Amino acid sequence: MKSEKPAPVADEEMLARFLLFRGWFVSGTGRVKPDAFIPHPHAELSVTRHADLDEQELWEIGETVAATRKLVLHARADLQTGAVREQGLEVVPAEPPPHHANITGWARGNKPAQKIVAQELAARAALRMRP
Amino acid sequence: MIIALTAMSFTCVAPISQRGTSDSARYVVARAAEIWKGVDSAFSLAGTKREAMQELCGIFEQCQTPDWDGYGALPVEAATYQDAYRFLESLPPGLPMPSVGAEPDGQLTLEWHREARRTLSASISAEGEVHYAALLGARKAFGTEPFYGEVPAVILALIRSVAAFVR
Repeated sequence: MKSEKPAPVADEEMLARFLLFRGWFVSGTGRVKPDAFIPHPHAELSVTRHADLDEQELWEIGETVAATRKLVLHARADLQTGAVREQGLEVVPAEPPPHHANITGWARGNKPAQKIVAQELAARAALRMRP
Repeated sequence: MIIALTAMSFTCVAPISQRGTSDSARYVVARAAEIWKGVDSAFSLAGTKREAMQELCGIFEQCQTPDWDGYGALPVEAATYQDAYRFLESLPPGLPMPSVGAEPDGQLTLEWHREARRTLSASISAEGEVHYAALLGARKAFGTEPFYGEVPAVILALIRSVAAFVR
């Protein structure tokens, strides 16, 4: 049976960056730090598409991500795909696992250029704490 | 008097070389730890600088193992911690202290943040470089400066720009 390719990621789609490190957000102010959006040493930044998932399903994906790494899921950073593309990046489906995507197009070998983009993404991201 | 020193205090003391393995070298490291503990308790350090150094210590300890972020992060090296420590130490008085973080490439970050578009992040590398990025309203600034033990003038100016914002 032919497997379906995931649909391209539309600008309106929301993306989730699961936060497994406590130092990447400030819960008191509801702020995500730009550190959470630095891809280096990798070429891509891993995210999960909200798609048609409800809140519980989305958190369950995050819990699975955390459990496989033996870390705690603290929160997630929500970001609209359009905001990512405004920074000259691209969002491409990357399954399996289901609903997974990568943010690509980062300036390779240019840390300051990556940092300024991460700053812009952090300014647009919404912090959601794990219930 | 023998002072029991925990692994934490050995890790997070003021940076001196810990490459020596002789009894003398170990004595010097232990003595430095004692002095630091004495200074810490005897003086009322600018509370925020001490808090920043404590935060630096905590972040370093959390990020010493590979994959500390769950996405394959590189561990933070001792040399990076030492440079970040020296950077904090060399901040002139009167400047606000940063919050401390870490990035997946193993660099430590020092962040001065007032609001979304009045913010500066400086990454301390193990190679003696500071990569920085700042949003200042409609303006952006980013680049790399060498770190020779004094905070680069460019970064000092950016810290003052972030701190000077008044609503």
